[in-house]
Amino acid sequence: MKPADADSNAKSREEGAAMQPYRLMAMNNAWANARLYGALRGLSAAAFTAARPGFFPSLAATLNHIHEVDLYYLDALERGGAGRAVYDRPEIDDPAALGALQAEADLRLARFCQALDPAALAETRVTARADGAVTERVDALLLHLFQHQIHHRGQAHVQVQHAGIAPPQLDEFYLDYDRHPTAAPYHR
Amino acid sequence: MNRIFETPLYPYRRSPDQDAARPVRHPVVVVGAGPVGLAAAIDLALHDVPVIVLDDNDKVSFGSRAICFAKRPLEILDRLGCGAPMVEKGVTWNLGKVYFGERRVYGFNLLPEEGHKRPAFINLQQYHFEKYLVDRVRELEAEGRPIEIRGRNRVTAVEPGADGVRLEVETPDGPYRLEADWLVACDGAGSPVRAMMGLDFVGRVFEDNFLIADVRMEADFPTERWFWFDPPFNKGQSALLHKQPDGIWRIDLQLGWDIDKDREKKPENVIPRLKAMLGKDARFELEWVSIYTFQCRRMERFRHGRVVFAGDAAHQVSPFGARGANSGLQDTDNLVWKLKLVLDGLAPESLLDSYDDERLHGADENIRNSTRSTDFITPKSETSRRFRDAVLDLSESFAFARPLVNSGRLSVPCTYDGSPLNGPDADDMPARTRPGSPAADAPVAGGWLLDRLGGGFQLLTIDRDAPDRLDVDGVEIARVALASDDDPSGGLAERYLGAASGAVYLMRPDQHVAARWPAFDEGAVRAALRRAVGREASA
Repeated sequence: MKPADADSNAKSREEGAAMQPYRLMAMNNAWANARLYGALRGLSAAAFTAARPGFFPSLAATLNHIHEVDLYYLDALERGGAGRAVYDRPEIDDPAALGALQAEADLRLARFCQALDPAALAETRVTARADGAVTERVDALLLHLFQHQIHHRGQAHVQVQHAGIAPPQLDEFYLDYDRHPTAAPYHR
Repeated sequence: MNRIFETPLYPYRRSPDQDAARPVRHPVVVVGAGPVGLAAAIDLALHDVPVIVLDDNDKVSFGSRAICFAKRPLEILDRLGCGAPMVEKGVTWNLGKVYFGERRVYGFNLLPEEGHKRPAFINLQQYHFEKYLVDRVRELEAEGRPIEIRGRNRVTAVEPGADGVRLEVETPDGPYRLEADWLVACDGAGSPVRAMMGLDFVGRVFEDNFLIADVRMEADFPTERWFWFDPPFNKGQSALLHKQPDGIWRIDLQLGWDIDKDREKKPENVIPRLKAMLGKDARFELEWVSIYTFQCRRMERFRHGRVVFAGDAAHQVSPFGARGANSGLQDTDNLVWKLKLVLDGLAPESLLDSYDDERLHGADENIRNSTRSTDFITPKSETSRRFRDAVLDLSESFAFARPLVNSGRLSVPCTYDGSPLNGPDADDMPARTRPGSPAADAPVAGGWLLDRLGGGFQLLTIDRDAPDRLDVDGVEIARVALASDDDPSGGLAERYLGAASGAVYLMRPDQHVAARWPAFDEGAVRAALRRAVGREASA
């Protein structure tokens, strides 16, 4: 092997390691959503949309919000060009149907993060806001999106408990110590 | 070479019906001698119902057409007495591989658990399939069963009445008239009977074209289903490779919507496409080429008075999932025993409405699965394509994405959940054999469970006592007595008992479960039988 190849391999390993937190965060998001929606299996539309304490007034409202904000940032990251039009969607009151759409969005985010490299992280995207366009870096958008997901998923967690369902642990993902068996398929 | 689909198998012969002074009336006339029509006719003859099959042709299907036959239809064919030669001739396969671009991303194994007589799938050209069915018809004729195929008999007019159907039939000797108590229309996707009755389809038409090329070649590809998304040799489209008997390979290439069909079908255009896929030095011979589009649609109802539609005449799906011929065989499996009971005056005519209930449910399941597969294979929007590509990309390294790969959800038997014919269920017994389910096979006492079921109503008892025969207002129930240790592997107990210590199952003539109990109770069995033949509305 030529020294140049050795250098470039080492560089790509280093780059891969630098991308790993983003990739793992996206996988954690996919797993946590699958686990949360798994706990909602069999929940009626009435229970899903019933009033419950929280920032949003129902489990349906919280989870629809997570989903549509995911769609908004995915569109920006993927340069889909839809902008704020992604919010023109009906609120979905069937947990299984929303779960399937959420899984689709999670897959797109996971794939986007798998393809990242340092140059892509430093790229910018134009985000359409109600009061005009704002240019943001990709890494900042991703960090904000992960934060947004976890922030609201925690609220949903409380509402799941309020609905009389034992809420599943959503942080047993990264550590060898307590990784849940269902998290394994999300790790390489 | 004289190919099987070029030889007349049921040549035109003048029937005495053509010289009768008045139209001759038959209990059942089946229109169409394809896989579904022939299966219907064989099933009727086995029930001793006289049946005439009219077909506008006199040969088996031209080209291979349907090739994947699933486990449940093979079990139905066993009941009809012609499963064995098909499985022997067919190519048995269980493994599938999925490619995305140039990468192999995913493999799957359809092999069900051990302890079943029939495999997940065989591949067999439709012409072989039909030939074996015609052989079976000839065998039944020789046994004196009341079955007759009339080749080059084209139905030109259908006149449905309250108690029968009048037909006009064109032959090489000119037209004649016929009457039938019941008409079963199995005349395919373009069903002339459906058109003559002014009936239509509801559902989606997919705007895409696919090229089928069956090629004869010596190749050492394994006996697997290979599916490509966006392959380098067919950019932006999909491709499928499948093995058939006699060194024939099925190649299916998506072409897109905006193409010139006649041009694409010409060998000089087909061959370069195939060489791009198989390698420029590949040596092959084209056996059959066709371009198809498809629809995922069905009739609103399959029964229209005395005319009943089955197979592609009643519903159509995309080929992804092998749900066409496979669902047609489940249609006639469901229909024939009901028709027999009604003809014998043992069940009300309304029993046939349950054919609608159960097979519309089956068609909807097939259409739903087939539509999903089609949407995955041919994404209709940029968002769908992004999702599709994400699933494929991630499935290579991440197991969680693999269940989302959809290159065709392959045909599995339909369970008639919610059917008005279903009787009581029992606690603690396995979900897979709940009322409405097709019987799960199991190895029992040196043979197979499914070889002992079907044809009439049966009481399957496992570690439970019951009378050997019961007569419920003329309908007989015969007992099949088993013990859980008839299957030392434990399959029978696992599939039929679950946590229960014994069980009594009422089985329908089509091998579906009608009801089940932890122990024999004559009153309960009689009530369930009455419900299963439509003599009692569901409670």
